[in-house]
Amino acid sequence: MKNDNQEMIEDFLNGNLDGEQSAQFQEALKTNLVLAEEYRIMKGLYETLDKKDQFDFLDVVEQARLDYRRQQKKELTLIKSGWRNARIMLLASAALVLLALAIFVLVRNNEAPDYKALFDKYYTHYNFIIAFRQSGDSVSHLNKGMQLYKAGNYKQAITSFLAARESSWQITDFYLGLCYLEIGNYAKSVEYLKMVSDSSTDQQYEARWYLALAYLAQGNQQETTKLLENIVKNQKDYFREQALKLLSDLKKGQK
Amino acid sequence: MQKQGFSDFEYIDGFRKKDNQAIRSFYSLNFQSISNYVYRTGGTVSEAEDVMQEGMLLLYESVQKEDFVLTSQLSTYFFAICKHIWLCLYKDWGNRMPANVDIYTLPDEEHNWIESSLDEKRFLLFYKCFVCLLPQCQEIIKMRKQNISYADIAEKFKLSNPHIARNKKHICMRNLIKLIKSHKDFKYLSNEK
Repeated sequence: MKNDNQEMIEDFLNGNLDGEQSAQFQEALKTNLVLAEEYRIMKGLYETLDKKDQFDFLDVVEQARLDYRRQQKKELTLIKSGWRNARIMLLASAALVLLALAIFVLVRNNEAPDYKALFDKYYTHYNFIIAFRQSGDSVSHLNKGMQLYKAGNYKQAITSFLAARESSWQITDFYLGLCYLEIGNYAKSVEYLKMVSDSSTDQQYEARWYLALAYLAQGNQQETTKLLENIVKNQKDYFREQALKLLSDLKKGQK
Repeated sequence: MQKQGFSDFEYIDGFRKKDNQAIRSFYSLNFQSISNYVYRTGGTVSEAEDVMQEGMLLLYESVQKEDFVLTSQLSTYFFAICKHIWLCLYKDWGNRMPANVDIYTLPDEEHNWIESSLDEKRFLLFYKCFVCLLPQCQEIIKMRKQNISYADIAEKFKLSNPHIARNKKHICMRNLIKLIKSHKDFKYLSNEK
């Protein structure tokens, strides 16, 4: 739109043109199509602005429309943030469940084998009793201890074996270890059995096996495994088969 | 504090007095149902806003008449006005007729409906475009219509000289004419006598 056209139309609509100018303008409208269209638009605009009453009313409606939109947007934002919060909560819950699951699996995988159950499975009462024919107090105590051990009176047997021990009878250490094992004093049992297993007595194989079981009962898997592996290495050791099985059970229990 | 509920009588009174609060409340109370109807019959939210605006203008003009009598609930009456406006648009733009509009619900020309005249439709078109301009532009055009000189306009808007005020007005007018000419209703309205 040329600025001159605009000015001319405006002057015409505002009644600023004199009679001759006005006639010229109206003539121009008949031939100049561009001017005619611009005139129609500006006339329409001026008529619109003239309807002040309706114009003002629509201003209020326009404000109402904008308010409504703002309100809707606000509500939508609230809903969205609600969804976002819900989503965050959902994700957090899912993460917690996963974490709990991971911890459960981890704990389960790292869970120690049930040593007590393994001990019960492999422990058998050692019932090979030796009767000594020598005379003397210590032999008497030793034999008495054997009888008490056989009868299952382990505490009394311990007293007898301790009395017999004064004569450095190494076999007493072995039976003391067994007695303590029976009454659940694993620390003492380890103490005595260890002395026997490190020696080269007749009971060294038995001592090593029962020491391994004493460690097992204590939950000392490292020492148990170490000892069992030593037993397995020795082809002559008659506890080798059992040691192999126990080792295998210990490994299974760790998975 | 904003008033929550208005009776039909209070709404009519609010329309007559151009009461902000009543008109806002009326808008938010009725827009959803109009929007749903327009949307259901293939329209958009923006078209629903146009229908709402035209409907409110018609209602405003109706309630100014002394013989205006409300024979149903105001919201029912208003919905009927808007439905009529929307279906008339379909009639005018027949090619957009959605499949789910029952043609028997189209307005009967002989029906005694309150209906926007072409002048009112043109008025709405110009209004819609005019309010799209910046407030300063709107003000300058209004001032020029009142024959206020460019010198006074320059003074009011603290422009350095009348020439700048004049240039500003030209730019505003150019934008407005562009808006009007590009409006979807412009061709249709400029062809109708």
